Amino acid sequence: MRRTTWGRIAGAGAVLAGVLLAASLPKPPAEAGPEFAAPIQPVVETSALASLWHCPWINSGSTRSSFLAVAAIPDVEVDFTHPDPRVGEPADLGSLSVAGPGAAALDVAEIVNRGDAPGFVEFSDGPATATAVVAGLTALSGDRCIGSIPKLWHLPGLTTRDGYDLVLRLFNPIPDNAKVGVQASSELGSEALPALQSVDIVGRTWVDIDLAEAIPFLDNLAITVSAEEGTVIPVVIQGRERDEASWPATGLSTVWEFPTATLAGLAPRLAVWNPNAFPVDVDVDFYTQNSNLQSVFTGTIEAGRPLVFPLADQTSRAVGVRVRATGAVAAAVVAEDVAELTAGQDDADEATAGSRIAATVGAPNPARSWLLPGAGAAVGGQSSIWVLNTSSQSVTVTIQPLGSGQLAPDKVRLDPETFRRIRLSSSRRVGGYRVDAAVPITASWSLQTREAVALFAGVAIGD
Amino acid sequence: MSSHSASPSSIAVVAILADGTSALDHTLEAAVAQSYEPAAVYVVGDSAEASAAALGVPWERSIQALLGNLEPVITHVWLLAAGAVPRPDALYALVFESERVGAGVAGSKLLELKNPDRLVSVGMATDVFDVPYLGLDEDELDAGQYDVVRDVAAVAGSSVLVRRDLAKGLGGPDSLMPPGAAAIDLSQRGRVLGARVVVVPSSEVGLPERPESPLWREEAGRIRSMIKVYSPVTLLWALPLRFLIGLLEAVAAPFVGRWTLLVWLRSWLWNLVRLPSTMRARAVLQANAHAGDAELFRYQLRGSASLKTLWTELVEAARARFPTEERSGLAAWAREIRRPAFGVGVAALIYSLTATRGLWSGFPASGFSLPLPTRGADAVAAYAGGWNPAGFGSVEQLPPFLGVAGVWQQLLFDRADLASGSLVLLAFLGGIWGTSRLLRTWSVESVPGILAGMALMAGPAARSLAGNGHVAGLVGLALVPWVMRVAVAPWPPTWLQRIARVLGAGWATGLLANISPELLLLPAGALVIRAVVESGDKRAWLAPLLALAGALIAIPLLRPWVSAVDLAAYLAAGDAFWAPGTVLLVATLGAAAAAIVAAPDGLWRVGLWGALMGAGGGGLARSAWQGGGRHVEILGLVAVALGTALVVGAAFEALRRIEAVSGLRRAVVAFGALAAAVVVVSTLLVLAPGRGGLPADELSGVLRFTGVSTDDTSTARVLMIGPPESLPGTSRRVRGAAYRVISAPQPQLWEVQLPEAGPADAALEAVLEGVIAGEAFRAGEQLADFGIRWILAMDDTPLSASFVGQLDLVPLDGLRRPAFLVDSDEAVRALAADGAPWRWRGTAYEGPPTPEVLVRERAHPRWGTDNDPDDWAMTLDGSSGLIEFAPGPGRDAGRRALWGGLGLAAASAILRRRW
Repeated sequence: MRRTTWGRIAGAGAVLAGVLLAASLPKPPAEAGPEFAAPIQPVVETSALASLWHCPWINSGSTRSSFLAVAAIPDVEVDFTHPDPRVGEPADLGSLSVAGPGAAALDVAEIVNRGDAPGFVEFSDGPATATAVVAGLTALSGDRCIGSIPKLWHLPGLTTRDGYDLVLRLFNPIPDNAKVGVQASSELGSEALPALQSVDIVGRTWVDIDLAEAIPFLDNLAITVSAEEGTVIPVVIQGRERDEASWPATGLSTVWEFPTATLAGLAPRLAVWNPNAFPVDVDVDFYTQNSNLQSVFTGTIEAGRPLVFPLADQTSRAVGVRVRATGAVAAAVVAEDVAELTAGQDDADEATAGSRIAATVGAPNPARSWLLPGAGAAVGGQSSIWVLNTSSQSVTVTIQPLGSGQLAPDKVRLDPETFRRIRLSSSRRVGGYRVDAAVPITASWSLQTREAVALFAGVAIGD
Repeated sequence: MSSHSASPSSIAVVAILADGTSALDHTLEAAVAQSYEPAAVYVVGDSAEASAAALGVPWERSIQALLGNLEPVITHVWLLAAGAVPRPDALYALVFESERVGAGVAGSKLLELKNPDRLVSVGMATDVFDVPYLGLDEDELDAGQYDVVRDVAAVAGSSVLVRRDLAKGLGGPDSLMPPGAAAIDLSQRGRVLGARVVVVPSSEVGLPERPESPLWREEAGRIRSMIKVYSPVTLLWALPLRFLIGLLEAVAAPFVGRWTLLVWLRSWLWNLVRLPSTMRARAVLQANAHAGDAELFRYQLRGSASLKTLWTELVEAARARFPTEERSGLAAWAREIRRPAFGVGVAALIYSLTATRGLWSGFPASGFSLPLPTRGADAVAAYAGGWNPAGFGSVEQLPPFLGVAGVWQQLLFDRADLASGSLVLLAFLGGIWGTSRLLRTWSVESVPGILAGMALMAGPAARSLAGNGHVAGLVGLALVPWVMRVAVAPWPPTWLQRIARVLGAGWATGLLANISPELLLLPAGALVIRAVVESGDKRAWLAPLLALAGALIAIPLLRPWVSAVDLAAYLAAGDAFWAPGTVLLVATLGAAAAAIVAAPDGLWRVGLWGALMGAGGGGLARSAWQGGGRHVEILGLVAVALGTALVVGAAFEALRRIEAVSGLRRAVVAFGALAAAVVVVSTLLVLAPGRGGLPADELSGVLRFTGVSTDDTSTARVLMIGPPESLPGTSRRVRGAAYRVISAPQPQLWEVQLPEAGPADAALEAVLEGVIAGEAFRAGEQLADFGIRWILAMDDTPLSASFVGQLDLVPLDGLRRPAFLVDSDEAVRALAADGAPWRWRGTAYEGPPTPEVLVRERAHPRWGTDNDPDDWAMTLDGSSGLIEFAPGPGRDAGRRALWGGLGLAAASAILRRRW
């Protein structure tokens, strides 16, 4: 009996020990989840590392022709997709090979004359980028294509004054349907756009919104496009009588640099849009070929308002421009003809009074390398490269033509805080340019004919 | 009783149906001596001419011939089997009663000729399949208990009075049928022609013993009769059902010593051959039919008489295994029914049926539970040296449960749903029953044993096991008590029986290990603990030794798995960490403590054993830090479940024996029983879902959309992304995000465990890396190269967000989970040179013959010559329209293991009989 009792006690002890031992075993650490956050699209950075570039403004038909210029550092296969406006119909495809580093210009008409329809360009490798140039009999427009896709887009510098057309194009390049909201602000404040609070865009199609009809007679207009669902690439086409300008939407930044502010006697204005809920102080610096002028304009932009700085009021010379703001803003330069030309302008010999209009977006950051597809290519008109050095160091800039075969580079000296214009002669062998410098600079290019001007932002090559 | 009728219709003729074997003289004598004097007596039959001549009786070759030659005044024909001896008033009673009730067919009461008190037949009922049901007990005496004229489904053919006009219409009994089936057929046809069929018990006929007709002929005759009498609508369901019942009988009847497979086969083949004649007979009958099937159904039994008989036999066979004193006759039955064990047993049966009712459509697709492959043969082939289709395929060894389930599925007509439902139901029943049997070894009564069985199969540990989808572990759990029972049963007295015991332990352990290999040594280990607990009893060590011998014998039966798998890696895969619920843990510990402290002598050791098993198993199930993997957790959970069952059994048995303890111990015993009751009540949690504790089917619904997207979903794969626990089986990771590739339309059981990553996996990971990095804009095109047609996100994860914005991924709206369709016709697993997709069938590909097929499986030479060996996929010859994976050496090993196991089982069964 006693043995049994001891057996029970010993057994209970053994069980207790076993239970305690089991309970003391630690829980393995939970496996870590994804090491990456949800993909957040870059807001303002436009990097040539991306291999998909959306070009919403292409028009190749009876009234206009379009060129697609591509430039790449490595050997790449380039695929151009030109969607059919009819839903469900297959897109037209074009492809070409570029031996890197190289560039090429493709006449969209060689693929299809689809008229007014966006497209996108895919590169098999990078850095590479694309630019679309749309040329009419008296019109020239275009800008770099768009490589990053934020959910919130900003388009400053617009006007719906009498005599101006303004079309907002919303391009949805992916199969998923998109739903976007469009808000507008003018010098008068927020503009009501009830019909545009929720715009559905079927996958792989686009929607054109005539803003000149929706909100007419506004001098200074800024548009914000927010993608509630899906993906959308906005671009505006601002028409003025016979010419037109197009520029892409951007994100926000506290600094914007514009190597090209004006040329050919156009009167430039700088439009800055403050989408924040607080006022933002802005300084506008000018850079000439010899020196810089700090804070030529200073001002405070009220919350939710756009503001225009009439650059032509301060200088009749070509300048590079830098915008510094105390909050993130969007900015664009729009240059157009005014009624009278002032004697002594740099390009007075080239100037022709009329209804020319050109515009471009800035670069948020300087970089050591830039790709300028289309610059110097035989797309009609005269090209110029514009480089801006906002640093305090002088730098030698290498201007390397890209195209077929070996092309000799050019070098220019750029003093601290100055800008330079390098005029290019068109060549069928050239498809674009690469610009390299030892210190970060900003580069862009322009194209002009007697009747029209277009400005193109460069694309920085990531380090 | 001996008066003659004066009615005109009372004129009858006797036709003695000679069969060539029975003597005619006594029958003739009795026929002639009838008080109702027949108009004539004939002997009918091909072979009876000489006998008739010798007896001086008119002879006719057939009934049809006789009917054609009768005088018009003859109103009735009495068909009397040769050898039958009617009583003198038998014909009178038939004629009188049939006239009275207006019956067209009237049968006699048949009695044994040698022992006239014994009933042979008083009419009969049939089921819808024409299987007779006499309704008599064996050796039932005639006490007049059935003596009333009544309508019956059929009357025996030994003595039948048929109205002459009806007889002409019927053409007499079907000469192609044996007597039993012919009698039923005659009655049925008579009823279809509008006649009443009655039995007249006052007409008594003695019947000598006679050899029975071959079973297959009777069965064939019944099938022929069905075809003749039933409407097409009835035949549409009755014939297939009869076919299946026969097959089921062929499978189950050997357990009661009957072998009916050949009967089943011959009967259906005979009918196939005789179908034209049957159809002709049917056409004649149906042209004159006056009554429909409903009239036949009025006199038929519900259900299947064959199945009822089989069930009775099986129950009897099962009961025969109980001690003799408990099964003696009706009184014992009644006694047993009144016992609580019977009620609890029935409740356990209902519990098992209810708890597993949702699995008859297949295993749920969730976690480690996936449906069985469509064809059992494919599962067996894949297990034994075949292709492992998980991920992009491999030759990695599949778990043996797949082979066992495949064999079981084949036995069940290749019905994956039947196999799934029956496996888990049998596991529940077997586990509960086995626990009860095991505990009886230590004198634990049935009620505590059954409750312990419920704790085994649906207690906290079992629910955790099943909740993760470990079907094999759940089925293996049910086998553990049986294997242990073999080892702990009393050691037999003779050497042959001892050998049988060892062999029995071998095949039982082999079966257990083939279901869940990690359980191979569990019975031996558990019995070692028991032997330690039973300190001082050296005989207790015999059981673990026997279990160990069984485990050793079982190892070869585990081939090819055991020779192909890396055991260390197998045990280390995944993480073992079981977190039991606090309430039930406390309840189990309370029951264990009470059993150890207060249970009567002997029983406390069962409680202690269970508690030690539970503690040890719990340690194993939480051994992730010590390297324990998923399979170690399964082993631990099974040990915990077994320990819980032992504790619960001991706690309830202690309550039953509470008289044996006194004082405070009684209160402790009551507390222990209460705690055990909490554990048992928790087993009711599996009732509502009805999946035996297995997880809810998460995938079938969310994958259903694949069927809408394409005509043949079996041509492509699905990339699933989301938290690892939401993905089926194991998964891979890319930058911490879990994903896995499955077959469309739904992954099957053989895809649970992904193989070691190969070149295809590396390539896919690179693609996903690109998508995550934002470098890919046509992810669909890249995924199409892997045969991936759909992407399904089980949750909103950064990886799923990475697919938004791809140019060639079409989002599928309106689904429960975010899903994308790859916008490419080439997103298929196998692609012919002309772009046509090939289908994935089993573990092979098939499609229109073509010179070359790009097969997106991991390249392996046993698929054939790869014409493009540079990448991970294969370009194979498709000229035959079929591309198969050639079996490896595992095929023979598997075959040998199967036959070895069956051989062991047979040898064990033969040797264990007392010689």
